[in-house]
Amino acid sequence: MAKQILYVEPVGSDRLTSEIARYIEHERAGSADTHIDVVCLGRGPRNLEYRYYQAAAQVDALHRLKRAEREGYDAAVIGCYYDPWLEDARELVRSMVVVAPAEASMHVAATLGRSFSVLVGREKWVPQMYDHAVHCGFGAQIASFETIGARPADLQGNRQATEKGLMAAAKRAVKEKGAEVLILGGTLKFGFYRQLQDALGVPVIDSVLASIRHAEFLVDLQRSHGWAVSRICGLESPPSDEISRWGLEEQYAT
Amino acid sequence: MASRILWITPVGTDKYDQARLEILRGAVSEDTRVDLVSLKRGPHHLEYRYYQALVMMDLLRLIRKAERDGYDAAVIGCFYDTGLHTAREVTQSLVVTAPGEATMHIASVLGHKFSIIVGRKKWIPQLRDNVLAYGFASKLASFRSVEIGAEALQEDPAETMNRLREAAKQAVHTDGAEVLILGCSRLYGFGRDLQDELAVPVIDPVLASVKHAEFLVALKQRFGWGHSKICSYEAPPQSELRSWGIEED
Repeated sequence: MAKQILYVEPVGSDRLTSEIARYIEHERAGSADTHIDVVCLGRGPRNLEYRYYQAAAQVDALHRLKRAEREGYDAAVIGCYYDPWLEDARELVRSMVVVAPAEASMHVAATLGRSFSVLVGREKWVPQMYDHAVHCGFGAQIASFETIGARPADLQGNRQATEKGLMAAAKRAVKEKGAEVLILGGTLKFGFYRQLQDALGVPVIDSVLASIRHAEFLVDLQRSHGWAVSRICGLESPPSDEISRWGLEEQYAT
Repeated sequence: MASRILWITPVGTDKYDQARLEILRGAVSEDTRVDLVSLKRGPHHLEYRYYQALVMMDLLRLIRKAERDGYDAAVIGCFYDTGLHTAREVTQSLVVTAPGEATMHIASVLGHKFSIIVGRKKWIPQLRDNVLAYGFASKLASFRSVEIGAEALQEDPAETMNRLREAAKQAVHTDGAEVLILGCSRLYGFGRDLQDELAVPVIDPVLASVKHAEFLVALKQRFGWGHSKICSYEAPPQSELRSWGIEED
């Protein structure tokens, strides 16, 4: 059945959105009858490396997701490997599926091997990503985090260096740390997974592609079997009448 | 992309095969073909470790045969996920999944805590070990048992439903479960009504495992993401199997 997915790159600049859209298209990430749009937030930080940047982008991102639900999207992807605000987003929307790259990638990786390594840009990212992996249940499956010493803008800006760094990090993970599966821990490492996979002979999960497939999978489960996010306890949505009575969307509008 | 999935009922009875096959075929995409096979001998359920030991080699032979026959995926149709890791080890590129793993991966993204409703208390320790191994200990609200053996779960569906309803209410209202998993591949056909009554997702193990198989096959076909064959799932050398004569059926 046809599906509509919105991939939200939760940063202010649209410099890479068209490249991500082309990549998703090129890799045929979605099924033939899935339509995928890619957008950014239009203001705010250009990357989310720091918690402060994540805080700055949070409300706009949540409102963008809420809007996506109104626009009729079946699912949205929060396009950052920190999976920022994933639970906030699931709480806020009523029935749209919300997924994020790290959660999606780890669920895939954990069924493909007993241990995985995550290749990331900088040490700075590791603690927050590690905490999230533990939270998702995959702490014991982590072989290592490997860094390549690159900031987000460098990853596509200097593809040669990225490729070299990823190859070295991947070899370390597989040969020294016992990783059976690798995850490209970042949404701007797109376009590298296949050559790494071919070179190393282990699955290399591209988190952008994994998140699109995970979104489709969950939409399918929701439509066919009614398996949607549980609305009791932790992900109970805030009351709509309270939100409108307090004028929250207007007060915090973009 | 077209795919073929084999559901293996790892017991020596085909009593539930037809009912399950209809459910499986109704759940998959148009271009997915599902077949079902059960064992020609052996115990009629796998409640005991001894029974699991008995069926293991027959199950693994079917798994290997499935790969030779060109299936894209096999589902081991028991909630204990009997032989899951061994099956992944002994095949070259077949996708293998099972209801326990599949249901937990789904449940853990639909809420913070899930409960697993089982037939008998006997099953809980072994299933708890699986929950821990898959990494979902912190997501587990509880196990609840209806105290009906695997042989009897479909004998009196009304009674099973009554007890499931009680267990489900306790899981949700007392244990804090946000999502429920039906923890036996014979607990098919109850999920939808429970879900409607309790307003929480109730994950059916038969449906979940075949959908998970389709999901994994698509990942493999599109992106080449199959089970990693280094370390844990490294296959035993064919030459060794042959020279020791443990290859034969």
